[in-house]
Amino acid sequence: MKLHSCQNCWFNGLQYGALGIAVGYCSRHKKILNVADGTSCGLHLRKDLSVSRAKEVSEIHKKHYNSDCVVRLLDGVCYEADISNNEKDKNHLRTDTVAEVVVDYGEIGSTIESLAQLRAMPGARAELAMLSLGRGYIANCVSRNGKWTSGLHLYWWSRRRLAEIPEIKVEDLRSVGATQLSRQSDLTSWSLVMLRLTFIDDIAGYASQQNDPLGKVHSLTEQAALALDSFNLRTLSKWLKTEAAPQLDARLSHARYADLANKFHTEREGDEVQQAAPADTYS
Amino acid sequence: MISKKKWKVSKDPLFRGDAKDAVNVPNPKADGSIVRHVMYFEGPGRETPYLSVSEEYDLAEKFSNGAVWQTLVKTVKAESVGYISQSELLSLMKGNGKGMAKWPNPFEVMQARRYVEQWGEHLLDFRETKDPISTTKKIFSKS
Repeated sequence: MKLHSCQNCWFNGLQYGALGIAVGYCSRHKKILNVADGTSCGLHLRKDLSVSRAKEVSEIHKKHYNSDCVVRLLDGVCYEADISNNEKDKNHLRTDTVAEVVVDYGEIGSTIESLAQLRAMPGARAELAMLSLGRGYIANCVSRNGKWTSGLHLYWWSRRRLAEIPEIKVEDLRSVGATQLSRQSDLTSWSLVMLRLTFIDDIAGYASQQNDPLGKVHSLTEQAALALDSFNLRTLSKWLKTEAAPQLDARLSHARYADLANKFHTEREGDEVQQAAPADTYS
Repeated sequence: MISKKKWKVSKDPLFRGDAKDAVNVPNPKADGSIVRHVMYFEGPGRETPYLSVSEEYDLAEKFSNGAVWQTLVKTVKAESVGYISQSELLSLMKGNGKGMAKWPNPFEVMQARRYVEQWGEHLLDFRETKDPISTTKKIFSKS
């Protein structure tokens, strides 16, 4: 599980460590990743790090690998066998419900609609895809001078399931590693909850840059790491309920969420009317 | 259900996936942070005084660039190379880490701890090794 490979990249919503299916899918290159543990590219952003650290590490990474194509880690060369852009392969991949949304992400409907579809799906793999692609979605919105509230609904969906421990089914696992199956399942579940917290940290970070009270919440991933010294899911769930959730709710209650969502919706409608105006003038 | 056999320090080999021709040569003078090493922040070509090895052949193969090598803890120690067991690594990687696993970001310490457990990782420590080129040749054989 090489940490700088496609399996550990934001843009691959189908795999993360042991979690996922046999192939990955790159939402940037729009390619099926046949050997996601052995490939990478210069656009790589690590799932297992905070946004600031992922960007720091990415600066080093892009000196080694080309951004234009998916290359093999061993020699930096792009091999046709490592990827597929074939419609027949993509259609086969679409027979998996999570993969269908991931493959069509940014192609059919809006990206936030795809993320909403993933949110509504049960299972750890759907959450993985939502969190992984969601990190890229918000980073992209904010980098274009967007507001942190572009991720407001995504934040709220994650807050609502904050203390739920994801169930990892046998078919969700790509490998058992050096552990027994049940332990691998627990560690994988833990890694997904940490990805959830990383996602919330990302949003809190953007909120902090824009002086929103949510930004006052200190990194939940760091707090969790200091508070929990074993990978015990029951202890983790308790900590999430009693320590993490109250901090978030103190800064963003349901009433405030509803208020921000309404404001964001009104602003977007206003933007859309403004963007449509020149076209109307021409017609 | 057949359970996995417990790895034994006295007799079981440790595996390393690496290049076909030789094992990567560690740099005894490089930064000795264990978390930096496990988390692979600097990527390919990074300087490290450690070599990661795994209890599991299959896992070592996943990190391989052409070959899987193996060694024994007693062989490593006979060449005065340090050995940090998986259990020691796990005990060092709590909170902000202890000893050479001390690290400013506790989340990264925790992630490294999870990887050490999932990969069955142990470390060979070359910080006190005078001639790492010949030592790596002596202690590893192809698996």
